[in-house]
Amino acid sequence: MTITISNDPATSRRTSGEAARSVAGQLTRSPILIATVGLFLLSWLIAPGSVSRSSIDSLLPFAAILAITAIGQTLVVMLKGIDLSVPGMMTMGALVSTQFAAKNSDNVPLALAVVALIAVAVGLVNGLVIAVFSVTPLVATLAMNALLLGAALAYSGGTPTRAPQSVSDFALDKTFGVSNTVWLSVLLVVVVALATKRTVWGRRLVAVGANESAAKIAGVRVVSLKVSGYVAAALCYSGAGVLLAGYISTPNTNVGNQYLLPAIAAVVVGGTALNGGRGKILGTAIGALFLSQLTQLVLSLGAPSSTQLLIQAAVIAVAVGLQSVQGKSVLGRLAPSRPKRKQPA
Amino acid sequence: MIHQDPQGLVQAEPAGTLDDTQTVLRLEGVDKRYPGVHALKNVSLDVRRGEVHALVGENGAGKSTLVGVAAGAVLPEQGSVQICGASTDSPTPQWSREQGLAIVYQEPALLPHLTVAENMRLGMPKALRPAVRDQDRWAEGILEGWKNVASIDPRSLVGSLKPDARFVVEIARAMAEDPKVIVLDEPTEHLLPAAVEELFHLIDAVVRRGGAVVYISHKINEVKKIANTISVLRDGALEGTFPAADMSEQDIVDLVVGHQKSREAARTTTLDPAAPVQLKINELSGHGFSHLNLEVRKGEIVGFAGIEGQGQRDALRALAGLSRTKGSVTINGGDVRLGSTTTAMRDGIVYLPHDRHNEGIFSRLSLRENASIGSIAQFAKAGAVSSRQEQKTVIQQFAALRVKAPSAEVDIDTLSGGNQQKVVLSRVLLGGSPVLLADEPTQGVDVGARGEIYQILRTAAAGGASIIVLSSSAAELEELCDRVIVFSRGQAAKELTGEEVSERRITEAALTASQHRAVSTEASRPEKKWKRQLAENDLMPGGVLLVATIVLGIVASSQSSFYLTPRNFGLVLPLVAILAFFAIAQQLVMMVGAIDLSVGPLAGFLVVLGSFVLSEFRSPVGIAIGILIVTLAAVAVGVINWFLTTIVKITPLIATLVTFTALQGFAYLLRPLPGGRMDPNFTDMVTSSFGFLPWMLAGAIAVALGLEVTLHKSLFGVRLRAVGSNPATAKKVGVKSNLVVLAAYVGCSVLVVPASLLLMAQAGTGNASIGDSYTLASIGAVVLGGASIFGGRGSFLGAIMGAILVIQANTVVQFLGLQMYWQQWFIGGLTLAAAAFYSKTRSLSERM
Repeated sequence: MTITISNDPATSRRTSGEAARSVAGQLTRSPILIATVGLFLLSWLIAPGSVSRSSIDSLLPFAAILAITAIGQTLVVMLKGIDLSVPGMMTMGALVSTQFAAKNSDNVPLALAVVALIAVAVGLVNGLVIAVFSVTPLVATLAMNALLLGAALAYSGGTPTRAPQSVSDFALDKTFGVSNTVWLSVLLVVVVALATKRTVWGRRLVAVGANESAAKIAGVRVVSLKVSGYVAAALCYSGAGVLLAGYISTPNTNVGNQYLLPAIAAVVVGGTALNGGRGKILGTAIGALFLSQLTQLVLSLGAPSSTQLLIQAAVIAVAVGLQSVQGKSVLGRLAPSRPKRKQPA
Repeated sequence: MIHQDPQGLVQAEPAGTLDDTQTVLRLEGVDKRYPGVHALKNVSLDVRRGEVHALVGENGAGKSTLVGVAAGAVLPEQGSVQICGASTDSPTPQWSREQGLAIVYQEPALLPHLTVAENMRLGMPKALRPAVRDQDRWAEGILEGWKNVASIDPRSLVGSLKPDARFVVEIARAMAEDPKVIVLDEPTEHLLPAAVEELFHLIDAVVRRGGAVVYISHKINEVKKIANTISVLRDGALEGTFPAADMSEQDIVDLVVGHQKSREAARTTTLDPAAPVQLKINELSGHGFSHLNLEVRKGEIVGFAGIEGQGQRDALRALAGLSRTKGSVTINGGDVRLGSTTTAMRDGIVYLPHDRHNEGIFSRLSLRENASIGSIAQFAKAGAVSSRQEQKTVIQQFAALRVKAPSAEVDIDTLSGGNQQKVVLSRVLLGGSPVLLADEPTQGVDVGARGEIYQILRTAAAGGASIIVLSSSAAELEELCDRVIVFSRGQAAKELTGEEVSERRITEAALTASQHRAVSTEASRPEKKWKRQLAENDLMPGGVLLVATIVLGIVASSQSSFYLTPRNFGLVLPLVAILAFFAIAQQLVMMVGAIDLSVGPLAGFLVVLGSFVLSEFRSPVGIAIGILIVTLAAVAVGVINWFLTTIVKITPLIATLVTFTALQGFAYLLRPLPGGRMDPNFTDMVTSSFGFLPWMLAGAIAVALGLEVTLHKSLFGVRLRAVGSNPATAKKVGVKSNLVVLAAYVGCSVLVVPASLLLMAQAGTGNASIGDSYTLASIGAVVLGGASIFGGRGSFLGAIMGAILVIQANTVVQFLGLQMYWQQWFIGGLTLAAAAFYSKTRSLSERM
């Protein structure tokens, strides 16, 4: 039964109430949230050590860094793209922040400004190559990654430097018992989630991702919007790189490598569709937490890294399989199809 | 299955045979539902030998779906298809074609990346398919008959043809099938008058030799002219089948439109004759149209009419800011900056696109998001959107337009066409722009909603908007417009006002105005021909890379005498062979528009597997069995990749990421640390060479050559490119795309086997991570080689050249004494430049 939407003021009042309820509803219906809660319960049951205070303390900062990276990736995925320049950008962020600060008498703000500038430049190039020269995001960011890794190597000469004390202190220090890195990622989640849902920029970003031609016809400046998305993403990766540098204190030249695939996995597990449009920022962050805890659990059970990889593969497969309509009906499809009518003799 | 139609019983009896010899196509109780639409309601249709059977009805009446069922492109829920005596209830494109049914779709089912001849050959039944080496001559012979209408080179890519030429290709091919029954879906829509003449001659010929023609059209006069029998469809149900001679045009119209009055009683114009001019277009020219001068008053609705493709749409879209123009446009005296939709909207022009699916709606977004996006800035303060204000405004607009939906928060995809269109109209109206351009405002909209949309447009005009409506329906223009401009050859050829704004006069003016159009449909502009040919040639990138490789080689040999020594080649060429196999493998999946990230870890896994089954001192038989086991493992991985992408429908990127991770896991499971020793006899075999040329590299080149030839000279190759070019169209012309994709994935995995054998020899031990870096390297090499990541294009030789260049660059960097990071800069920069360059040249060649 369909009803005509009326402009009865009662309806609009009700919808705001509904909106609040639907937020709660969405949270409880969010598969990744349920899965994460379930995972922590399971961890508590089978390996209580993996949810002890100290192991949670060591888990959260890495989950936070992964979440920050994955949020950048989510923005790109919302634009119907994929960003493979994550390792390069993170490594650049880590190396430039440490070495530049070291060379300039620990001038951290200047170092951060330089990192931000590099990220903006990288995002600009990615976005322009993709939007203006219509190069596939995969190819453009793959090439950009090579350029960045080369640049990181060239800049650092391949030798790691200690992160400036203030960055390490910030990354390692706790506020209210929780690492600053975690607070920073929470802040980023809130800001980006609000930005994509409640700002003109975010709404246009979603529109461009959902249908570029329609967005253009609706008057959206598609090119500048795409570029802004890639710039925001690069800023996320570089920020994650800086934090990672602070946390592990002596970053080497492949520090970002192990973050590319988990970041994509976090986006996928978090429920953002790869065909562009609406993104689930909070889902991505929870997805990052989920994947981190999964690794922790597997490790604390003493399983080798091979098991960890296999479990990760299975989790991603299940997560995307459940998202695709076809995935749900695969079992149905394998069953015999409709009965064939007999041919008339 | 319950079958209530008594005809079904008759058909099963032998007594029906007499009848059957006369009936070439019979559709029985066909029923089809799409989500939200009952497209066909128990439709039965008989088409007899020697007749032109017209199928008429409005847009969305079910005509195309019905013939789609006959052609096997649409699977009905119920009902059967009988062609020349053979019957089935689940027709496939191949079955229908082999039984003698040929179909020309409204949108030609042609693959843009294939040549004209390849397309024609692909669509033919097996018995009539020419050999590949003869196909160009064969196609030329068929197209010969259309010489006076269009000169088409069978060797050019379909993507570079103009729409009418594509249609000629499609019709010529269908006729060449020598079909017993031919279905033409709106054939005159894209054709120029001369071609229409030719088509009518051909239809005559088919009928004379005892074939039958099913002719779909909404042009009733045309139908009256050529049809013997007319069947009318309305809202998915058959209204009846009648002899054409007994029916007047008005009778047909009444049946098509149904019991509602066939025409709105009276056109209500709200135009105040004293209203001031609001929109002024002065000497506007652009792509497809020129010298347009037009003044539209406040509250006036002006129609754009003309035969399809006379520049009316180009002009409308240029006004919307979608293309570059010369000339000036003002609204109430203020200049409008065209060339960008953003500035056109800012200055007061909004556009309602005709292609609702691709340019109108935002799929998977809510009605609210769909409606508010155009004027989202109005609801925002300092960039932050006020939900309350947005919601209120949007819901008010929906109420005014009577959008029927459960709430403003449901996805737009759940609505019917008419309601979707109202949501898009809401978006357009919310901005309150003074000028509204409506391109086919009622396309794909049912009768009820159509009237409502007319009312919405009239209300907007009464509110002071100036509206331009482009419509292919003269009746629609009659009903809506105060004035109609008829376009011909890019010019406003005629203006109809007052009493002249009638369906008859509009159609007449459109037809007579276009009579003298030039017949040329030559696809390419000669001055750009060589550029286009270069861009179309998939081997071009390979050539460029070869030059780059040689230049690098010369530079390196001038710096170091060691470069040109057999010893150096002995070190470098095995590396080339490894990457070459990876690149060919990646190219194979990219041909079908997919990507395989798992190639690297697959190689690692195979190496680990090899460290067990190809370990020390085996007999030749043992080695053979070992290689067989490794190959079978690769095949299994290929099948899994195919299953995840094609059956579970996970995007290739993520699906192969899953196998990527899983393969790493399995490899580490078998060998947590490098271990085992490869059989030295075996590694000697793998690394043996003629002089300094490893035979594995020779093998890679041979494989690439073989695949290159297969790609262009065999049916399989054509199918591979067909699926990559456009999977939906490929399916329509009968390519079993699932199987082709399976072959591509399995082929890809199997091609990783020789690469992994080389890696085994290189490492001498089972190392799980040895292949990891090759995933990205293979993609880089293939992109350098000119593959389109969207499929349908690329070359295996190009992929090998890409691999050679990558290794060459890495070597030369060392010879020049440069730092290692130059390798990454060189490859990264080159890939970016190549991808940008290929993408630009290709958009040049594919632009119509």
